[in-house]
Amino acid sequence: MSRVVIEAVRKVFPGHSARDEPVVALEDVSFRVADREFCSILGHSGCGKTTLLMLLAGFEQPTEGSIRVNDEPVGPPTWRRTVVFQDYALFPWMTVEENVSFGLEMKDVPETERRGIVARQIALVGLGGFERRYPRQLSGGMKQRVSIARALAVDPEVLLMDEPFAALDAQNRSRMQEEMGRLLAEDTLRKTMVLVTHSIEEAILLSDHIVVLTRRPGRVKEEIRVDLPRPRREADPAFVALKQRIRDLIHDEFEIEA
Amino acid sequence: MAARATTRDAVARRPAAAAPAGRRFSRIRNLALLGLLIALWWLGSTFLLDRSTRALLPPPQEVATAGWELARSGDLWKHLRDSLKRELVAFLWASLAIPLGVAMGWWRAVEDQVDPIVEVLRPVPPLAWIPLSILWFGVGDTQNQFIIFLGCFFPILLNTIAGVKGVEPNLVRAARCLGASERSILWRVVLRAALPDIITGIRVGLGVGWMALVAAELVGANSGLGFLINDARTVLRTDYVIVGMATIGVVGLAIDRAVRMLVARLMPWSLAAGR
Repeated sequence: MSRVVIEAVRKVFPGHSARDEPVVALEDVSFRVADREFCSILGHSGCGKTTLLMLLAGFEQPTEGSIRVNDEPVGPPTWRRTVVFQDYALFPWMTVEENVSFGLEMKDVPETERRGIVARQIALVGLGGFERRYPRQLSGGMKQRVSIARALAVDPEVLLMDEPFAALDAQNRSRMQEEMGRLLAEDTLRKTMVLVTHSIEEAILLSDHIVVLTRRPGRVKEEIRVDLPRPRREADPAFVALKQRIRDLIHDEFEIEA
Repeated sequence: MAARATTRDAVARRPAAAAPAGRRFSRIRNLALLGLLIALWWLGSTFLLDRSTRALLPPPQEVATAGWELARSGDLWKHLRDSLKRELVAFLWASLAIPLGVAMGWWRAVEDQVDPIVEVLRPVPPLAWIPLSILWFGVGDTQNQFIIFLGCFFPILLNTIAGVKGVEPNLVRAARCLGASERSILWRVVLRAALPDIITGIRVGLGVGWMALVAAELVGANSGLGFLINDARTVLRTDYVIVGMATIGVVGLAIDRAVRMLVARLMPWSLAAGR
């Protein structure tokens, strides 16, 4: 069964003032994300990929078309479709523990059960021992781990990620991608996930399914299935070949633009 | 703004704070100019002024003696207590600006209604209210508190509004998609995120209120530090006037420091407090 069904979505933002041209961010976007599938939305900056994620989360409504999750139209934001943000969006006045616990409190999970989940999630992202730290005492990579733990703690039906590793330095980024890849290799932890990224390597490393968007307005240029065995290695010839193929696809876009 | 400046100061001064001995020395060094000015005051008052004009600026040691007299007789404490009580009562009323500011910053409709009133009232200095307030409330506590309230209220209100509007949109989004209700978002996210600005508003408000208090007491009170200095003026006790002024300055500083210490306690996550 398809978890997420996006059909003929168009999104237009009105200009800031009446004289501005309205901006068409997305045009006739349709694709599906299967149950427990990891799907990446890949495209240039400004191609509307983050807009698409905001529509999925329910922060914005499509101008035309429909988005359905588990056969229900997407309504206002809920923990069922939670988001991991590029800038982490941790609550600075809460400790690591309190941040991870926040969503569970909102869900009215009883305290004893809550403690167990929080401890498990913190351990899962490798932050044991940092429970009482405040976000400002953590590095960027650690903050993003907290953010991921906080999102996983509420056990969402769909996990949405908006360039979660883009703000990290190169070393931290590849480490987080690797760990994420390892997490995905374990079948028990699989969830339906949608990742927005502009990194081809990241998309191949993690995804079952890549949706390549065109430049503004964003349309689906191509959908690619990735069947490489996990955990994936960048040196793998099949990996390199796929990377080249996607790079050509995206390069095309530049030609059109120029 | 003020909170940010403090943070920068703390960072800039860190090297000095590393060595305790160096820190003590730099503290003393920082007081050098103050000492020099007091010495100049003493020199000027003792050698430049003659007997009759010296009454207008008595030398520091005479002011100190006068301060000791006022403290020992209990007069100083009585006036100080009355002033502080007025400041406190007025501040408690003025803290209504916090819920009002949150509402104005969060709901557009509330701001649209209240903003015109605020915009008209805000430029009227608290002191301009003194004549009307004396007619309304007479001379005494209520009138003084009303003036301080006006001085306190607007800085708290404006900073709260700015704080609420400046909340990182992604924090609110994160709370929403973790299942937070509107009430939880206001209480657990918006109010906390705006807290540094609210505290800045409180610090500014208490300062403005303290200034307004003295002005209100000059004309509309039978006690308090403002009354003390005005009363001393009428009998040409300039030493008492200066003691009163110094007390106003020191207490104003102490209030600000107390708020800052309280903030460090209440907000362990903030950068300034953690060092």
